[in-house]
Formats: sequence, C-alpha cells, structure tokens
Amino acid sequence: MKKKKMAQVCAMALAGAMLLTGCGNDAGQSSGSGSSTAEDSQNSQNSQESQAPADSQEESSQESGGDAAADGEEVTISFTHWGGDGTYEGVYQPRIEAFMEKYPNIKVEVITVADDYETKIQTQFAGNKLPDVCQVAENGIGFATKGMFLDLSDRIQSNGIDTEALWSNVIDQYTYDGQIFGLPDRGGCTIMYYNKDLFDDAQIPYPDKDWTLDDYFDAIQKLTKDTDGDGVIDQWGTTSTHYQAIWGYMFQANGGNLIKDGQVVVNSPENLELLTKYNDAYQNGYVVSYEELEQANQGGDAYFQQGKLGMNLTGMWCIKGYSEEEGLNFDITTVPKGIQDAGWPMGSALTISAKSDPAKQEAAWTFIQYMTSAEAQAMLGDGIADCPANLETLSSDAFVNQQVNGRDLSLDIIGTSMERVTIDGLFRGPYYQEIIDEARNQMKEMLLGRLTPEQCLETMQKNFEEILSRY
Amino acid sequence: MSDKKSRKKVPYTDRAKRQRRWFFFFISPWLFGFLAMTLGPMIYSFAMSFTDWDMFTQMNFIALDNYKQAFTDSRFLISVKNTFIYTFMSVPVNLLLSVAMAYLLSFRLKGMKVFRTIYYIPAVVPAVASCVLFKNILATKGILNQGLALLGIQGPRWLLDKECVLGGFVILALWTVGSTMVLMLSAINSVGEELYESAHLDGATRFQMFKGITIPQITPIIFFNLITGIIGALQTFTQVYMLTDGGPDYASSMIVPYLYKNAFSYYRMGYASSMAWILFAIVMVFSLIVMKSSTMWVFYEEEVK
Repeated sequence: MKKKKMAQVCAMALAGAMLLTGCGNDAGQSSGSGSSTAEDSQNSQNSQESQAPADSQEESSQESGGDAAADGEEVTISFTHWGGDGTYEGVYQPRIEAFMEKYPNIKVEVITVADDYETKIQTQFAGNKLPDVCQVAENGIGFATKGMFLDLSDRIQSNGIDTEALWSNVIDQYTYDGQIFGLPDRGGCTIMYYNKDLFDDAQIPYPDKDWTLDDYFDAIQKLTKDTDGDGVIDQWGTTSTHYQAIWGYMFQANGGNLIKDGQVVVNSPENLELLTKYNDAYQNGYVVSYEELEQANQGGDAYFQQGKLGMNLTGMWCIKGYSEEEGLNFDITTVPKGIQDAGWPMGSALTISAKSDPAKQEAAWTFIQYMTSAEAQAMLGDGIADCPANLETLSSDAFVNQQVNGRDLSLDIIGTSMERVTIDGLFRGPYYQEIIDEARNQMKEMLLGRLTPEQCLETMQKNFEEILSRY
Repeated sequence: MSDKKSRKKVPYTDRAKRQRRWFFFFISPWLFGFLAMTLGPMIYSFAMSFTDWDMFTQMNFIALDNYKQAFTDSRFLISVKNTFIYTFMSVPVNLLLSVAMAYLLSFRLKGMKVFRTIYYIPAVVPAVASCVLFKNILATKGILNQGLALLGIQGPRWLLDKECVLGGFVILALWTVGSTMVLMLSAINSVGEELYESAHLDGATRFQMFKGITIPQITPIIFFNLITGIIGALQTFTQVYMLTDGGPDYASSMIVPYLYKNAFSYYRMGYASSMAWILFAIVMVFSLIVMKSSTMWVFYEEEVK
C-alpha cells in the first residue's frame, strides 16, 4: 500500500510542478520585435540585424564610465534597442559615441535586447524600470495607447522640427490621438530588387519609378522558367507569400485599405481586384511556393541571392548581402505603382519613457534629437549601416552617390520610396499585432488553396471586426 | 503499527528536534524557491484571472468574464480540442512504443549497450534543436515524404495541411520516446529472475511471460509515465511555437501557446491567467481519472496477500 501511496503523491506533485513550470517553458526564440520587418520577411535569413556591419569596434566601454563633464550636472540615461551586438556596433555605437563627445555631461547606457524585446520592455514598464529611451516600431502604438511614452508634440513644435519635411507620412505611424510619441530614427520600407540578367534574358526593360502593378504581374509570368529543361520550374518571377509588406502596400496602391478611420474596410472591390491577381500569380506558379520554401528551408530572400528570382520585394536589409554576391547582377527600384502612392513602413523610432524623471527626460530629448538629426543620420546612412529615416539625409548626395561594396546602385529610390509611404489605419491602434497575425493567417489559407480571394476577404473582414470590438 | 503508536506518546527528544531542524535546513532552498517562485506567482495569477489586467494600466475586477470569454472564444476551444487530440494520439503511441523498445533492449545480447545509447540519444537533444530538425523532416519534399515516396506513398504536406499537422507533431513526439523507454527498461530489468524461471519450468512461452510477468510487474512505471505523459502533452508549447506557431489556421494551436500569445503579444494578462487555470483544472481532472483507474490495472507487490 505504501508504495502505491508514494506513487500517487509523486504523480500529484509532478502534476503540480509540471503545470507550474509549463508557462515558463518558452524555450523557443521569439522573433524579437522588429519582427514584421526583418525576420518575418519570408523567413529571411538575411535579417537587418545580421547584416549590420561591425565597422567601429573601439571603446564600447565609454558609455558606462568616462570622465565627468566640467560643465553642468552629469546625467545618465538608459537606452534600449533590439538586435545583437552587431546591430549595436553598426547602427547605434558610432552615433552614441559622437553624441557623448558633443554632450559630455550626458552619459548613455545601452541595453541591447537580443530576444523577446516587447515582453522585456513591457515587464520593465510594469516594474517601473523602463529605460529612458526605447526603440519602437509597429509595436510602439500599442505601448503608446497605454501611456508608456512621453508626448513629444510640444517639444517638436518649440524646437521648430518640420515633421513633414523630415519624415513625411512616416510620422503618422508614431502618432496616437494627435500626439507624437516617437521620432523616426531608422527608416526603410518595401523596395524592389531586380535581377538584371534575368530581365535581359526575358527581354523585359528594367523596371523604374514609373513601373505599375500591371507591369509587375506581367513580368513575373515572363520571368518564370524551367531553365534546365527537366520539367520542373527552377526560376520564378518573385517570392510573395503572406508577408504583409508586399500585399499590404499593394492593397493601398490599388486604392484599398485594411483599416480606415477606425473601421475595417478590408472587404472592398479594390482589394478583391488586387488579391485576385496576387492569388492567381501564386496559383499559376510564378511565385516560389510554400512547399518549395519548406524544402529548401530558406527564405525567399535567399532565392534572389542565388539568382533564381526575377524580382524580390522586401526591406532594404538585403542590399548589403546581395551586393557581396559576385555573380548577382542586380539593382533596386521603387515598388510598382498602382493608382496612388503607397509604401509599407519598416522603420523604427525613438521614444522617451513617461515615467523617467524630468532631468532625464530633458537629456533623453537632447539624445533622440541628436540621433535623428542630419549629422547623426548621415553616419547611419554611410555604408548603408541601415536606412536613415531622415528624408533630407536620404536625398543627400553623400547618401545617394555612395558605392555599396564597389557597386553603383540606384540609392536615390530609397528616398522616393519613403516619400511614397502611406500609413494604413492598421498602424494607428493598439490592435496592430493581432490584426496582422490574423491577416497573415488568412492570406496563407488562400495561397494554400483553401480559400478563394472572396472568402479570404470576407473572413478577414469578419475577424478583424471581432478583434477591433475587443479594444 | 504498534511501533507508530508508541512513538506518538513519547515527546520529541532533543535528537528528533535537531533532526527536524536539519531537515528544514536542507530543504530550505527548495522551499524558498517553491514559495517565492511557484506558489506566489500561482496565487497572483489566480487573482489576475478575475481582472482585465494588461500589464500597463490599472487592473479592474471583472469577476468571471475571462472564464466566460474563454468558453465562447472559438480559437481557445479549437486549441483545447487540438490539445486533447494530440494528447490522446501521442501518449498511448509513446507508451506502447517505449514498452516494446524497452523489452527488446532488455535482452542481454552483444552490443546491446550501444543500441540503448543510440535509442536514448534523441532524448538528450534539446527540444528546440529537434524542432529545427523536424522542420526539415516534415517538409513537403522532406526526408519523411521522400522515404514514403520510395514505398509508393504520396506523403501529405505535414505542416501545411490542416488534417495532418497534429500527426506531424505526434511523429515528433515519438522521436523522444527514449526518455520513457529508459524508465521502462530499468523496470523490466528489475523484474525478479525467479518469476521467469518458474514460468519457464511450467512451459510458458516468451509471449506468455511478457504478458503475464513483465507487463504486470512494470505497471507502476507505466502508470507513472502515463500520468507524466498526459501532463506533458497537455502543456505542449515548444513544438507549436517553433514549427507552426499554431498554423495553418489554428489547426495546430494548443492551449499553452495560445495563452502565451494572448499574454505577451496581445497583452491580455488576465485572460491568459484564466486560461492557465482552466488548463490546471483539465490536468487535475485527467490526473484524477487516471489515478482512480489505477486500482484496476496497476500491480503493487505489497497488495499480494
């Protein structure tokens, strides 16, 4: 009897213990936070982060110690961003060092978060330990609605910062209820890469800033081929599955939206027209299929790198990697136009914590103002460490005329693309993440052949409305 | 029995007191961990499950609304259903396979140790690593389907078809059968030799001995593995998170990944807590059912009269 009792007690205890540990069992790696930018890009292996160059290795210790400034009281502010050491060294370190040299009485302490960024700052906020300056992207609006960040509108006005000239529509992504909660720092949006050799072979003129969606859908058909004649397609027009930076911008270019003025408007004739073309392209095999991507266990970005794609629509982060590929003869251009300007934002902004004390908030404002200034943004754009958000920097000769790994690319299109960016209503509410998850889910269902475009939009409309009703 | 009685009457001696103190001293790290890291959060999460807390703003008491919502949330109900289907498929198959393998590995043949090691190795591989591996194996044109193609079978799109995705997870679960197998093996090895000897003298066949001696003798271990297996399966997280993120269209969504998403992606901490407690209730019910049933099939030597 004793042994049985023991077994029961043990099992019970285990039942309890396992249940309790269950929730903490997040052995997996979450896709940080820039998720929908780099990492979601069709499982892109070439994430923005990994490509950031480690150009300035020196003195990373400076931010924590250093000599006290002679003038003024010394303030230490903390700054957090996602990514790895490479991201820090490539994207932030040079600018932060320059900043501390210029403002010796402000020290910047950097917290680099490799994984689960959102969860981390969420917890820090709940525990009143939020760093003074945080990097945010699409996730920012959700946090802003909870009162996490300082309203910067007054400061922007009193400092005479022209948001329209500097960031155009992108500022809308960081505006909630008329209040601006972040200054755009890292920029970027969907751009188009095209393989010149494959275009030559197919005898299609190179795409330019005036290319239309019709040209695009026409070209992907011509670019899809069985090059070695074994009966299996091995060269595709493009790779466009459920990644929102592709179909999402196309909806807008075609005159549609997902959410507008707080209303779900996804089930519209414009969207159906676009989605039907989008789906046909996939079903006809002009797009690398899920089965293919699964087998190769690589993202669509890699297919372009291997010369198997005519075009690739994604963020700027592929420029460095592609330009290192010797046999790849490519250039970049704006994404194809529809009936109106459109572009999907992929950047991030810098915010100030609402809970920081006033002295630190002031220092933090000086800091983010510097980081987004022309001087600092030029450092960011140098060598394409990342895409500056500042439109003036993007159109400057220094940025446009630089060479990337010895190549001349049409870098001027980045500024043009950024100017064309429009912000869907999706980005203006705390529901961004949930809506986008659901949208991707239904897009995938359609592409896998389980929904028609009509059904896909109907389901999205219904489910989006339900999601919105919960906020 | 009499010994127990007499001990009760005698007051604790100094020695017993000292021993008791040492006892608490030695278990104190665990005790502290349990109170601070387990019991505390548990109570907190129970309280949270009656609020609408989002981790940012003031929490409001909303009584049973979270629980009501859970029972009308179709995505949660699908997740519960998937979790049950997965549990009922993976646990029995895992047990059968581990007993069968343990039995075969219990023979004292040359090189058996090598085989035991080989079969145990997958259990040592971290879950995340196996998931990455299985992403390749279960791919539409992956190794598994290539193998099936050799047999003339057209394999499904394991991770893309709604009907097959849970089957894919069961296949992944079998990969770690080694950890259960090891427990079964040690149980089989500890079955008394004399039982087999006498059965042998009585002319029993190998199968009769397996059925009549080995299996009854190891039922306590089977029972243990059944309980832990059910609990483990009900709490499946890593596989879903790594392989499909609940897709396609929630066909592989399970309770823990779904509540994790609600808590940390959509900031519904209160709602997520209520789901965690529903899961706790489910686990309790299953465990109790299995324990109640154990009198019918679990064999303990002490019970032999």
